[in-house]
Amino acid sequence: MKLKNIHTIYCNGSSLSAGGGLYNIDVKEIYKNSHGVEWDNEKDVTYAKYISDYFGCKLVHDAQCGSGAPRLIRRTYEYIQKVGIENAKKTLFLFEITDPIHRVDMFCKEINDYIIVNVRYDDYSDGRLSDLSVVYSYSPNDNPYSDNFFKGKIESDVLKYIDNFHDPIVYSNRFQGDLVGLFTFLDKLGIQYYYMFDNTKLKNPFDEVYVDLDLKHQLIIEDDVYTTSHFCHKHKLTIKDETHDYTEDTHPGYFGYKKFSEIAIDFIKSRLETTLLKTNELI
Amino acid sequence: MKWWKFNTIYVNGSSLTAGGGMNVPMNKTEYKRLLNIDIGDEKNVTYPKYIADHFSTKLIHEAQSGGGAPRLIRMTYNHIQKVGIENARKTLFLFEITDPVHRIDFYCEKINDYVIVNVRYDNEWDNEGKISSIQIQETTTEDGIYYDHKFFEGEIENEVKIYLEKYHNPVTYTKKFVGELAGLFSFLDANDIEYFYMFDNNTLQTPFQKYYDKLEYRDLKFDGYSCINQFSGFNGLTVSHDLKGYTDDLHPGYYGHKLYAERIIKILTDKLKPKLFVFGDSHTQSFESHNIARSQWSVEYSNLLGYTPKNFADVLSSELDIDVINYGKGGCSNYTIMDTFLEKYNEIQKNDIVVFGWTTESRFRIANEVNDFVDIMPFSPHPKQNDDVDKNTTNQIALNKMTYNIWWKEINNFIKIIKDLLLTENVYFWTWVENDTKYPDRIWSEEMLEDDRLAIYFSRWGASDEDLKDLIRKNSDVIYDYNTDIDVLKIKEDVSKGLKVVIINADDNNKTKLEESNKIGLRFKHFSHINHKKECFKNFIPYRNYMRILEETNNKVDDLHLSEKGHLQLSKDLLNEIKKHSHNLL
Repeated sequence: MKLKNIHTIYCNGSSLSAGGGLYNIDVKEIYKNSHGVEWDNEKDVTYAKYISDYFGCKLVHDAQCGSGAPRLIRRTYEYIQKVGIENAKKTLFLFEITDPIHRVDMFCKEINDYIIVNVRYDDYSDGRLSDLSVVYSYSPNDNPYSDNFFKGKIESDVLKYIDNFHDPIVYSNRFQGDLVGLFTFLDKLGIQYYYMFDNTKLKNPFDEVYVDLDLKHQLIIEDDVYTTSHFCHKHKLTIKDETHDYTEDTHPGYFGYKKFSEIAIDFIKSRLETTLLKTNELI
Repeated sequence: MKWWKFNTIYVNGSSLTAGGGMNVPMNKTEYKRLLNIDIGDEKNVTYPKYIADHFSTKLIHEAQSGGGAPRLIRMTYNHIQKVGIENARKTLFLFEITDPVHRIDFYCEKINDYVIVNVRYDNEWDNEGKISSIQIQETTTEDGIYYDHKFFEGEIENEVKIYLEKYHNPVTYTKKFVGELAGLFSFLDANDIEYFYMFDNNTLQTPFQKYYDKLEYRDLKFDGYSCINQFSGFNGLTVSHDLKGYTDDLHPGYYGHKLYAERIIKILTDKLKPKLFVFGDSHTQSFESHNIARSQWSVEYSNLLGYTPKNFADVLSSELDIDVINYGKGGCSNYTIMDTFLEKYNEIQKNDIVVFGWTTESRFRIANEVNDFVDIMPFSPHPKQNDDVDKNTTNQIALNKMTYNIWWKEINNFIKIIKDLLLTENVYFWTWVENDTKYPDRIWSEEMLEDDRLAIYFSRWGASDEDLKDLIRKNSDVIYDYNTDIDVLKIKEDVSKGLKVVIINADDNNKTKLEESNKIGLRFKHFSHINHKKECFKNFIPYRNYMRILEETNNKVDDLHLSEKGHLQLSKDLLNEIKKHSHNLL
């Protein structure tokens, strides 16, 4: 089955979309031995891949572990600039949006690209920074830089910056407008998209705008289930569940993604026009 | 300025808007010495202030020297969050957008707020784009604490420079705001928030040129000047020009801001001031124009009054202080009204107000000998409009149009087309035609009576007018109700006997019975319960019988057009509706 006038699916989000945890070699071994399933690239067993396969679309899987709304906004605009508005109109965008509070999108001249800076503030009662990690990607796939590359000088520079020139709340707030701006931009151009929000912090200041946006663009899975994470926790389909507590990793598991994608496919079919013709016959 | 809908003007931009150059104390002194101009707060002599004063509107002036698109985007969203969407709709946003390449919006923990970091890359010996210097602009934080340049000099500036050298790329930074700026504009558009912009250069527009092509209306560009610096630079209106070379500062000067404001005020007025478009028949055409055309009734009435009265369009125009474009034409039919609209609707903009005065449904058009349309005013002493069409024929057609309210469905469909085509939602409909419905005497044609298998299927009995029910009762020998238990064979028997059979409630709720009737060979004509005239009137302003000339003049002028008082009543009703529905006006 094809989606009418859609030839590409673009997906952006965090580890919840990128197959976080499923890149670990020992976890892969467990799945192979206990369930007889195996994969090379963890993105191949995520909902975005299943959805694009089902509809016979090309997949641009731009989700990345550790990333948040800032990277999602930047990369989506970059993608549209790259392919042009006309091609973007033939793309279905799937967004999984997480709070930017722990997820800083930062440019690094050393690699001439953006890095993912994850910060934690939960070890101290006074809200001090307690942990910081800098990576290009947490996954070993498509990652030209080892984790050690950023240790030492770069991490220390970034820490200094975060200490002096970063406030997690102010940083998060900045993207409330930019995110709703992205959605209205897509609407204005007639570009199809669905989103899922891990929590409502980024939506709250523009609640009344999201009333309409939600009706049209919220990916509805089940009552009170808004992301793969909610879904997999509810149905006990996290990596931890599926590996029978081999790991504490509660990212969506292999079967969790599969089940989630089945419901997402039905939802998309109910919203978008489909056809049995080949996509290239329609474009 | 009754049409001005904004209570606030919000401005954001760079030094070009913030009065850069006029903030320098030495320049202020020279303005006083040379031109006897006191510049206190330089923002008070910038174009936004003049614009806000002209429109008697509160000004929020958030432009700042060194500010660029990143700051503008962030602060605009913040402002909207702060005041709420409803208040933002009462605000006119004006943006002056400069390239972010030298303008970084940077958060600083030491002051708990953002600062403007201006970066230069102009080392003569360097072709690699290394930072040559940075400057952190003086800042007043949201809680009102002022920090001058000196506060940032030394440690903070050094730390920022070191960071930027390693973690900032001016091109990448700029690229990031291409989308975010388009996102802001889309957000404003989607939420019906009015804004206009000027771009210093097109770096931020080019990647989404196709998108910006559709935003042309928002661009304040004029005479080839896309921004105030170009206007003041090319016209010798910079600070340097004002001060006769006392300084090299090329920011817009005192006169540059003043003259630029005058041009922008005119552009804003042209873009935002609504026009009133009226379409209709002689009730819409102005008395002045009737008098010029020597319409006897209008001339007589004007003579009796001793002046030319205003019709509703003239009254609305002066009440709202807007121009009227009157496409009313005496004696025309609804087809001509619709045709005129189709020819002219492209002139109507988003803020405009449109009033349609529909005429009697009995009028229609035929072609005349010179291949043009001519409106037929039936049952009047007008001569024949085409030698091949008898007056008796046109009268028969007119009678048909007056007898069956299905003709109002046509007007209802015109209204749907009008609403779909118009960019504005400020469209109002009225008619002088009375709102009662007259039904014919019969529902059976001779041909139908001759058919011994034909019954009339009438849809929803309960939802029908009493007059229509009476008509059905009078015109039927037997009425069957599909909502009750009925024998379809008995119906067929009655029909074949030549009885006039009407089956009521023959609608989708009784599909099975309809199918059964079809199976046994009953034929039917469908009669809808819908009163199309009533349905059409739901689109109109509440019906009112406005005062006529005959009544107002105590029969001195024998004419049934709306009188001066009638037009005043109508304009009052329209004004109420406009106020009720038009959130972007008054």
